Amino acid sequence: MDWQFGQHVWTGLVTALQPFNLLLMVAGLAGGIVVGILPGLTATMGVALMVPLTFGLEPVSGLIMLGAIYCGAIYGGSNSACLINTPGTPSSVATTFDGFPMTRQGRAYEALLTSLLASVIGGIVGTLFLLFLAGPLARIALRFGPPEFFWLAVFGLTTIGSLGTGSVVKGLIAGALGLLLGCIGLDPIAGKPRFTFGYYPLVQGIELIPAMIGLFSFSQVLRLVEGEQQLVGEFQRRPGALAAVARELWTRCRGVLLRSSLIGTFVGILPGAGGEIASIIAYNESRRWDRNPRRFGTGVIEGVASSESANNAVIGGALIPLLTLGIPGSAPAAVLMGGLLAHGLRPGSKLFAENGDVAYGFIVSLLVANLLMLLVGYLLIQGTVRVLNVPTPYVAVTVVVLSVIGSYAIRNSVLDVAVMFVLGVAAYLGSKVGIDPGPVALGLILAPIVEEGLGQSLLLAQAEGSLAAVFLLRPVAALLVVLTVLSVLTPAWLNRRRGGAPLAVEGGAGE
Amino acid sequence: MTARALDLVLAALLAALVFLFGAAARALEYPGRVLPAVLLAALALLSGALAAGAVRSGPGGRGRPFAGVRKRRVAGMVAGSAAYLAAVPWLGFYVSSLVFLLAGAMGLTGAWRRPRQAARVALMFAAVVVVIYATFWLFLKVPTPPGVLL
Repeated sequence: MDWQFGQHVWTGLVTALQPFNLLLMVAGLAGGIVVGILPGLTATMGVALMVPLTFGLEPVSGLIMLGAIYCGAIYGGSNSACLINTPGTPSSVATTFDGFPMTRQGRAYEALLTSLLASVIGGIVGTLFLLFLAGPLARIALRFGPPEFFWLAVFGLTTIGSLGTGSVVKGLIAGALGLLLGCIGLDPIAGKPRFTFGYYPLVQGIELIPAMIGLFSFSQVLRLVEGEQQLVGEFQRRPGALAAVARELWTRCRGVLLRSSLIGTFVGILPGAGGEIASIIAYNESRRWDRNPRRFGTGVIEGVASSESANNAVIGGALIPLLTLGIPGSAPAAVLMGGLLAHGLRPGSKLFAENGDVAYGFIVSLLVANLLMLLVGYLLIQGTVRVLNVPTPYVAVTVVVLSVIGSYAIRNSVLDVAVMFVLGVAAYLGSKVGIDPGPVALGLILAPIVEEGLGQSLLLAQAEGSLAAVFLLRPVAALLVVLTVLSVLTPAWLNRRRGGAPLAVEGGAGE
Repeated sequence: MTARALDLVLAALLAALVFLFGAAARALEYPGRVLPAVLLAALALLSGALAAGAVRSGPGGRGRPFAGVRKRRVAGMVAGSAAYLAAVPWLGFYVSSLVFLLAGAMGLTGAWRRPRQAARVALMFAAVVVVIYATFWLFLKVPTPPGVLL
């Protein structure tokens, strides 16, 4: 850490703390959170929508605003995930697993505050890695080729058995169905259509966002109208709740937060792997290392904390290859790269040498934005939590309209709206027989990475004449294989060591 | 229908899905056919395991998953949403959304029987549609499904 680095950080801090830049951060955070809350409007879309607005600003101010939108949107997705079981962004899928059960138990406020604090902590950890370890971490990311991505996705898939209602067989069926849905459309290697059954529009494949809106939002609408309940949940504001949640996170979730933030940062560095994968892996790891893994999915703050800290840590991680190598680590980071280029800045190692004031101003502003998110997020929670006081029928019909907008907006396709509707009805019926939407979404999220990694690795193996050399003997791939095997075996091992009953493997509904 | 019967139906549906996708997968080339083939084999095995588990569990079943579900309301919401999606290209997104919101809210709450509550619901959802229009169309410029009317 030399004197010049310290001077750059100090200059960055002074830039970030200018009143105009603070104002831009507050506006960006508020806008980002609102975009994140609305199902179908992703962080990528939020950043892309605001890029033209930054053209009239100084480059550093424009980037500060875009960074704040990115942070706000990733966090915002957790609000709808906790309140109405609808992840606002794909990164919040894992937040629904425990966030919504907390709401059903009358602990919505606690769930929202947990997600806010965990997001802030994850965001800060990711940004600190970006600030201090960007170079070495970017070099590690370069060691990831197709076999490593394949094994990373398989590692993520090991979560499937632990998600859902308790039947491993049904969890695996759901995951396989998600992966199969992900195979519809163009073959990523040969570029030929698959499983379109003569219906040409299916060539574009099943888009993730409309599918997720169907799996979570529309199916939740049907669950809301099926019963007698008047309200989605019970909202009780407790004085001193923020301090109580902070205390609980500090005493019970320190390890969870640190581990999840590290996972988020590392996954964020990998191009093509974003918050949705990081949060699922972090959730699974928290569950795996917990003394009583069966608590997960019933409304524990550790579940919300792990998912939210991981997906916000991705932001710092995704910016590491972008700022040091010019390779975006996630879709919103790719749009940010467009913003950088539009302002005449070329991402890469020269950015720090030639435009250090802009680069460090931007990075330090992410730290400030994450701290400001505590205030902005807390104020917005006071409004969003009131959705629980709206009668269930009103919430249900409004969510249907928002679901149509969200599923159409991604690529202006009526097919996507139809996919949302069909998958929504299927997910509702499936949930009645124990096929939960979580593993289906996980399969759908991981399908492109599995498929591309596998296809390219098989071609590499064909060229090298050895499957083992490609899949097992590369150092990082071998490490991921070991981690995958451990991920499958450790729950049973830990369970046995703690003297618990063996995990259920049979496949019956209502078990 | 008992959970056991539903499991058997699910296993049969999965078998049909495997057959359908399996037939389509035969035309695929290497390496694009590898993952679908693995998945279909896994699904075939899992559907078999599911059916075997259901048969083994005995005729008593394991409860009725649809017990307590207000089926007419759920069916009404599914049919209403389908009609709403079908109406969008004709009425336009915002007009059909307003109609859907009003019909859905009044149908689910029974407000249509009470004129004063019906008027309040109508005003509220007219405001909701205006807010949606202003937010998505005017401010964020997010495209909405096209239609003949607004």
